[in-house]
Amino acid sequence: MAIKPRYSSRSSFFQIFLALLWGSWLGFSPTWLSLQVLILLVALIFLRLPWIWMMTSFVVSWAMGAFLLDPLMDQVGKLLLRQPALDHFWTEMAKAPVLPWLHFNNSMVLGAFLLGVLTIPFWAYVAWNLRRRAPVN
Amino acid sequence: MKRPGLIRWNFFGYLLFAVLALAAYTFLGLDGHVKSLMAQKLSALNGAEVTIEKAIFRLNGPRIELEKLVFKDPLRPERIQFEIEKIQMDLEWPALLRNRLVVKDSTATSVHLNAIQPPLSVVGDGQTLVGSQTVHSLAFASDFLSNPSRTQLPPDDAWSVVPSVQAKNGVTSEISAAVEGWKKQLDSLVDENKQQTEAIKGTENQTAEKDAEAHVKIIIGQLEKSRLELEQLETQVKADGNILLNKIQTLAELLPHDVTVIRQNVKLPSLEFKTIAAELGAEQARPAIGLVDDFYFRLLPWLEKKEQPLRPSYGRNQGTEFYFSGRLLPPRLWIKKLEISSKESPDGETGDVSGHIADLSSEPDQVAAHLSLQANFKKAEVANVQLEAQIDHREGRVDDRLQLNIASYPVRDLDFVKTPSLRMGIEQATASLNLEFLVQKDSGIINLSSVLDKVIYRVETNSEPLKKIFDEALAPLTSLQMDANAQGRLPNMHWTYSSPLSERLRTVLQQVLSQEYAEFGARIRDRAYQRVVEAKQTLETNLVMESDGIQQKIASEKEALKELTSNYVKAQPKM
Repeated sequence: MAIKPRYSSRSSFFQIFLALLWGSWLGFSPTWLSLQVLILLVALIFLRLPWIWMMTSFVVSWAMGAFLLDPLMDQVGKLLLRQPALDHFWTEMAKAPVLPWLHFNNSMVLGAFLLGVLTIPFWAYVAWNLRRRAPVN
Repeated sequence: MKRPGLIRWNFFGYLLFAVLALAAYTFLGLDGHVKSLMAQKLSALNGAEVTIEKAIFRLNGPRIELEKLVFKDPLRPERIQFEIEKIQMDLEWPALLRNRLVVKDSTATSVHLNAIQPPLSVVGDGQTLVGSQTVHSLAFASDFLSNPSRTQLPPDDAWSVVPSVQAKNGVTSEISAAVEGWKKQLDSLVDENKQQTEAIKGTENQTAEKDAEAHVKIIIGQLEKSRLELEQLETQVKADGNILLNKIQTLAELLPHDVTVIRQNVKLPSLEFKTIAAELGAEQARPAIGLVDDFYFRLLPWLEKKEQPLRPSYGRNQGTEFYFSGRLLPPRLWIKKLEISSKESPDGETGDVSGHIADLSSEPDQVAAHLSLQANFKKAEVANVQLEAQIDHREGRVDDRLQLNIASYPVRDLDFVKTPSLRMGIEQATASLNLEFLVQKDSGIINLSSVLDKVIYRVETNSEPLKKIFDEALAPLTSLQMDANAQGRLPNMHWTYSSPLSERLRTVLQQVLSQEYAEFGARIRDRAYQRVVEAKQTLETNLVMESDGIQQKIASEKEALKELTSNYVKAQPKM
């Protein structure tokens, strides 16, 4: 059965996927004053990503974080940062120049990053679905 | 149509835009960012809002310049505690690249100190090394003395529990039970006699002539037996009555116990005033100990904390920052050198301050800190402040010291008692202070010596007698010495205080209250005696009346029996 097109897009699966992922990372992150956010923003200079999907993913992720997932991200971040087994790893990270500006020592930033990683398959599925429903004009 | 690729090859326009945005942020936004960040960190240290008028971040150095820092009082957030006109900090790039603040060299100039105000009774979130007083004997005694009805005798309800009343109730019950018993026995004997008399009358005509003599003898014997039983009861009534009378007499022996119980039920201030030195000393020491509290409860935990929860912002949880430490990793904060200098201005607004801080770091187990400060604040009337402090946790030991000497500072509105009936304390005085705080491992010692001169007391009360008592007690004490010493495991130290003020107030209050208690005791004794006498009279009257009534009945019954017996004796056939 042929899939009925609902919208059109010239972006590839990878572009849509990256836009959704980028947007969700920015949305989950509680602060924009960290290095990874800066890297994401600078990367947008060189990458051509569909803004509509990025903004949608950003807004959805921000709202999800604010109303639902913040406590979970905070707890996950605290759990990882308080692990005695990981203490050496975090200390070595702190010793390295620039890396501490990633704010990995903030429970929310770490939790948001981890949640962003865990949502990769989900955004890949969404991107694949969007791509097959949107014919190239 | 050809799909656009992922990589934007013609990115120069965007790159230019990004570079311009970064430049704009560096020139326009970075200072604001540094300002809010520094204000946030300093507010966390101060425990109240710290505002910064202007912050400049210079990449050359790098260097941070902060202007017009205003520190609010943590206990009265609406009040400014002190201000620093300018702070300049030269930072280290390697530490900054690791998001850490290492200050190579720094200066603070033009320090303003506002008038010293006494701290509130509870410091900050309740953490203080001065033990909180749970007993307020001075306030209680003052309230008692200001109460016009303080020596009124308690109402009748209060007397219901005294031993003599309880004993009286017991004796009353015993009398009732005894009287009841006597009446029952008497009624039973009277009934028996009636039945016997009826029976005798019934058998009079039935008896044969030859048995008449024997019959009469039996009747006389029966009547004699009844009479003897009545006599026994009479004897018992008298004996029981005497026992009960003796018991009534013993009520008088309970009089002292009655007085004790009544005095216990009336809440009177204790004459010992065991805690009065601590009550007064704690209030006098609290302003100075506030500095030690800040040092121990605020500065050290702030420096050594490993986690810092952040306030939510823009509707999002900002999480908790974790601070990791290790070899070759600079401390989160390390002020290697800070010179504080301030020249006194003609109007006295700015204090004359010179100070030096070396190696104040968030890791005192790595670097020992030394603080030294000399200051004069003319407008705040604070002269010759000398502060020396050390924080040293190296090699697993704890060796923290704080020494503060102030030649002169004003004391205003120091209240010892503040109740609805009395406000008593020091309205104004000039004080000098020597304070020493030592911490070794988890134990500490505090030695505090304070002298107050030109003391003007405040005694505000509606009770004229109370005002007179305190005015007369305090008038000779125009100069006060107070020594306090605390030792023990932190933060629950054992305090001892000595002060002529507490001794003087203790003596005066003991004299006044002793006199009051003697008069009050005499009145209670009189009332108790009166009540016991009344109770005795009531019980005796009751007992005598009941006993007499029974005895009269017994006598009349005996008389009736006697008459009947004599009739039969006359009727007895002659032998």
